[in-house]
Amino acid sequence: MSSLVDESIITDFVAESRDHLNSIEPDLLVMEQGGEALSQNVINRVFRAIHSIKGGAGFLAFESLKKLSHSMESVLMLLREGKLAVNSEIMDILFAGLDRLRTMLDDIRASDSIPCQTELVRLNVILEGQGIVPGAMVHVQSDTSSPEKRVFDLDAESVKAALNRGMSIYHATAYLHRDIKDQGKTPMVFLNNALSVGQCLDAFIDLGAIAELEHCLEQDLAVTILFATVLEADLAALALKLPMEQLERLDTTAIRKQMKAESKEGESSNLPKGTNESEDGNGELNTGGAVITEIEESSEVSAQAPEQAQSKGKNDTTGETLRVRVDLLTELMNQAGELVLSRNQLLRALAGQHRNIPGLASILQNINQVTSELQEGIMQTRMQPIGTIFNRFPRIVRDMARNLGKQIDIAIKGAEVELDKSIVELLADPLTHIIRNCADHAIEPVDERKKANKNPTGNILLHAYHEGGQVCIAISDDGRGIDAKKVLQKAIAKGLVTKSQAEEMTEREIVNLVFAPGFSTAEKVSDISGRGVGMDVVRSNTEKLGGHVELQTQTGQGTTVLLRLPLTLAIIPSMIVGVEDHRFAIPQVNVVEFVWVRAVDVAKRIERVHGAEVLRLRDQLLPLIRLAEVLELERTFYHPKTGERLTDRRIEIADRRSRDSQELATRDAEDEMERRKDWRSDYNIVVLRLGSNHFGVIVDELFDIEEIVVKPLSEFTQGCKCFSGATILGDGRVIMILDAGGLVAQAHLHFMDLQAEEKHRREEEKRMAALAASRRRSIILCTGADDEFFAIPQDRVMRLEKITMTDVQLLGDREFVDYRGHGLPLIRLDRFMEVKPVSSDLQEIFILIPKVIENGMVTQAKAGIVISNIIDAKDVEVELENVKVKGPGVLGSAILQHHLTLFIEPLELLKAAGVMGGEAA
Amino acid sequence: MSQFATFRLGERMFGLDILMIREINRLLDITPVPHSADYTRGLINLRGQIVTIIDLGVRLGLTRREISDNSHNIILKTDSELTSARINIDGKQMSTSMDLVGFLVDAIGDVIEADDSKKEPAPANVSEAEGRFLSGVIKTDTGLLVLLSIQDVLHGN
Repeated sequence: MSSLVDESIITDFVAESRDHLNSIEPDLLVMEQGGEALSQNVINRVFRAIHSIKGGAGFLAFESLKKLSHSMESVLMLLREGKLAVNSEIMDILFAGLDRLRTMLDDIRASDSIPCQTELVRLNVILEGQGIVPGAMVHVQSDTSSPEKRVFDLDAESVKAALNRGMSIYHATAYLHRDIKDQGKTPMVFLNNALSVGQCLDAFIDLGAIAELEHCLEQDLAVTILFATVLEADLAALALKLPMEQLERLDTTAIRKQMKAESKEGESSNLPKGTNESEDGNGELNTGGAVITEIEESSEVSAQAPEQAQSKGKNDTTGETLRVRVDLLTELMNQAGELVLSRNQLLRALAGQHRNIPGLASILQNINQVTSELQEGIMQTRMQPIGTIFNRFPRIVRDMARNLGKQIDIAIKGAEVELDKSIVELLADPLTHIIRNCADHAIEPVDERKKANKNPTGNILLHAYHEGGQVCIAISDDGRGIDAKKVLQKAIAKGLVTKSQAEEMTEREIVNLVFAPGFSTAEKVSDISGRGVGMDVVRSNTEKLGGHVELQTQTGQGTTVLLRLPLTLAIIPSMIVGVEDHRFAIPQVNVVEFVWVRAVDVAKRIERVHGAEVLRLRDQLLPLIRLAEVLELERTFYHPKTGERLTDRRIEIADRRSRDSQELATRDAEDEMERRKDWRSDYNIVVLRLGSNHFGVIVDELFDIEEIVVKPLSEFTQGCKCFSGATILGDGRVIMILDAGGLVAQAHLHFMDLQAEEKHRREEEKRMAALAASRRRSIILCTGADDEFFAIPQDRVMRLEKITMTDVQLLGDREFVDYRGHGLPLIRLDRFMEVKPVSSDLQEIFILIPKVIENGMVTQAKAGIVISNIIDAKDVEVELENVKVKGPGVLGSAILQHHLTLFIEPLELLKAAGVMGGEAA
Repeated sequence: MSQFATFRLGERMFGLDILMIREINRLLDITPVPHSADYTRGLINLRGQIVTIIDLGVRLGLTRREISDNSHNIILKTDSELTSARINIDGKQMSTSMDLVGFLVDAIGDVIEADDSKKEPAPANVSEAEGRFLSGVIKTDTGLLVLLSIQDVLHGN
C-alpha cells in the first residue's frame, strides 16, 4: 500500500517519528526517576508522542509499527490514568518497545518483517493484568460513496475512552491533493493538526477507492480518518480545515449501549472538561472482554469531489520549523565561504580607491557587514545543540547500570551548546566510548563504593561549555580513577614503552598511554582498573575533527576526559605563516604560542639533543622543526646590500661556523656579520600542540590570522602527509594547510626521547643544586682586629659570650675566664696565625665557644676564641680560595660583604691550642 | 571527425580531444605542493576552485616546463562533468579524475579536425617513458598529431 504513497510522506513520517522517539526517551527516564510524584505533563507528552507515531503508522499502513505503538500507548494510558504505577519493569518493557520502534523506523519498508512479538507479549501481559484484552476490536462501518461499506477495526479501549469523555466520533475524508498538498501541508501536518483537537482512532489512505476513482474527474487520493473529538461537527470541520460535507458523525449509540450493558457496576465516567485538550480523563472503564459491535452509520455523506476547496488563511506557520536537506545547507555554506573570500578580495582591490569613488567606503562597509552576517546565519543553520547526542546517554547509562548492578546517576550540563552538525554526529561514537568506560570500569560496584566511604550512587557529569573560541566537553566521573601502575604494566607488556622509558615517565604521561594505539585490546579490560576501551579511537576521532583530548585522573577520586573541539569544520581560523616565498596555514586550534628568538640569542637558546634541535622554553625542551627543511623547500637569503635573494646552501645555522668555509670565504666577512644581525635571521617559532605534546615550527614570517575555508586535497596531492587540505586566501592565492601530526611524522620527531632528555636534565639540575648546597655555608662573620674579618661555620659554634676584660684572669701567659664555674681557656688568633691582635683598648670582647662532639655527645666548653665583634650570622655561597695566611684551621678565604674574610675551622684551632683530646700544641 | 586542441611541449605537437577540455587559461600563479609527485606542479585558484596542475613535461619524461609568455594551463573536465555530458570518444566513456586537474603546457595551437579512425600506434621513435602515455598519432595536413592517453597520464604509474 505504501508504494502508492508519495515517497516524501514516508520520509517525513520517519523523520518526525524519530524526533518523537528522541523526545520520549528522556521523558521515560524522568518518569522512571519521578516515582510517585510523577508529573502528569511528562506522561502526557510521552503519550501524545507515541500516539502520533501510531496515527502516522496506521495512516501509512505500517502494521507492525502501528500494533506495537498501539500497545505501548495502551500501557501509557494506564499509567496516565493512575491504574498502573511506574516501576522499572514496566519501564524496561517500554524502553524495549521504544528500541524496537526505532529499529522499525530505521528500515521502514521492512518494518513489518521486524519481529516485535516479544515486546508485544510483554506489553500485553501488563494490559491483561489490568483486565484489558489487547486487540479487542470494535467494528465501525461507515458508508461512503463507494458501494462497499468501509469497516474500521478499532481498539475497544480507545473507543470507550473517547465516548466516556463525551466525544463524538467522526468519519473524515480528506483529499490528498486538494485538501492537503494544495494547502501547502503534508499529510503528517494534517494528521498532527487533527491530533491537536481530538483523537485519531484510525487513519488510512483509501486505496479501495482508487479503483473507483478512475472514472472520477481527478484521481485524488482519499485519506480517511476516524476522529474522536468533543467538538461539534461544524467546529470539527473548521478545525480540520475540511469542508463540512467531508465529515460525517458516526452514530455511537450502539456502542454506548453495549458499554453500559457490560459495565453495570462501572461507575460513570467523569464528564469531560471543557477543552478538547483535556486528556487527563480518569474515568473508570469497564474491564470487560472484547466488544464487537457493528454500527451502521446513518448520516449520508457523499465522497464526490467537492466543488470548492475551503481556503483558510495560512495562519499556522508562525515560529515553525522547516526541514531542509543538509546537502543544500552544505552547499549554501560553501557558497557563503566563497562570498567571504570574494569580499576580502574586493576590499583589498578597492582599498586604495576610497578617495576616487565617493561613497565607496560605506558601500564596502555594508557589503562587509552583510556578508559576515550572511555567513554567520548560514553557519548557524548547521549548528546543532550537543544535547542531541547527550540525551542518549542517560538511557545508555541506565541500561548499563542495571546490567552491571551498579547505581549510576548521570547529569548533563550545557546541552544547549551548539556545534556544527557534522561534528555533533562524529562525536557520538567517541562520547559513547567514554561514557561506557565510565559506567563499566570507572564507577565501582555499590559495595566497593560503600567500602571506600563513597556515596553508593556513582556520578557521571557530561558538561559542554565554550572556552576560548572552542567547545569543551568534559566527561567526569567519581569512580576509582586510573591506576597508573597497572596502565604502565600493561603498556610494557604490550611493548608500547620499554622498561627504561617507563622509568622516566611522569604519572600524567603514563595515564595518557591509554590513548596509545594498541593499548586496548579485545582482552577484558576490566582487569585494568580504569578506562581503556578504544581510547585511541577516541583520540584519533577527536583529532580528525580538529580537536584534542586530555585526561585527568586521581586514584580513588575519579577521572575527567576533556575534549576540545572547534565550533565548525568548514571555516577555521588559521595562522598564516611564511617560509621563503611560500605561505602556509596552521589551524589556530593547534597553535599554542609564538616564540621569537633573536638571531644573536640563537646559539644560547637552541641546542641539539639526539641530533634534533630543541629550544629551551621555560625549563622545557621544545623540539623544533624547520618548516623549510621538512617540506624540502629551497633555502634563500637576502643579500644585505643588494636586497637580492640568493640560494643559501648552508643547512643549519647552528653549524654555520664549521661548514663550508670556502663559501664563507668568498663572502665578505662583514656582510656575514650584518646578515646574522639582520631581522630576517631571527627565529620565528610557532609552538604547536599535538595531543599532549608541544613542538616548535621555525618559520620565516608570521602573518595575520585568517578565517579560511578548508578545501580537500585532490587525489594528486593526497599523498602529502604534511597537509590536511588547501585553501584560498583573501588575495586569491592558494595555500596549503599544515597538519601537525603529519609534520611530526615527516620530521621524525620522537617526543619520548625528549622527555627522557628532559628528565635527565632535571636530574642534572637537582645534582647541581645539591652541589651548590654543598658550597653553601652558614657562618658567623666576626672581626678580630678592627679590619680583619673571620668566618666560622655556625655548626661548629656552641655559644657566643660577651665578657669584660676585667673578667679575664692570667695564669702564666695563658688567659682564662670564669665560665659557669670553671676556667675556660681563651685562644687568641694572633698566636696561631699571621693576623693582627685584637685591640687591647677594648673593655668588652666576645668569645666564641666552639662545639665539640666526643663519643656522640656535646662536651663541656673547651675554650673560647677571642674576637672583637660579631658582624652577622648568614648563609653564603662561596668558593674558597687559598690564602697566604697559614695556620691551624685556616680553610681559605673569600670576599664577603666586600671584605676579605678568613674561613676558620675552630676545632683545628682547639687542637693546636692543646685543649682537645690531650694533643699537644 | 573529431576536433583536437593542439598544444606544444618543446618541439612536439600534441592533441587532446576538445570534448575533454573544460577551459584553457593562463593562471600561472601555481602554488607548489611539497612532497607531492614530481610531476605535480602545484595548485591554482580557478575562480574559487582549486585545480591541481600537472607538469606534462615531467610526466612525459621530458624536462620541467619553464613558465614563459606562451605557457598555458589546459583544465580538464572532471569525471562527473564528462559523465553528465555523456562524452564518448572512440565509443568509450572517457574518464579523467574526480578532482579538477589541468596540464601545464608550453604553448597552445589551433583546434584542428582529424579523423579518429585514422589513428595509428605511436611511432617507434618516442621514448618508452613517453610512449606509455600516448594513445596514438594521426597524420594531418600540418604534420603528425600525437594523442595523449589521459587515463594513463593521470592514473598510470
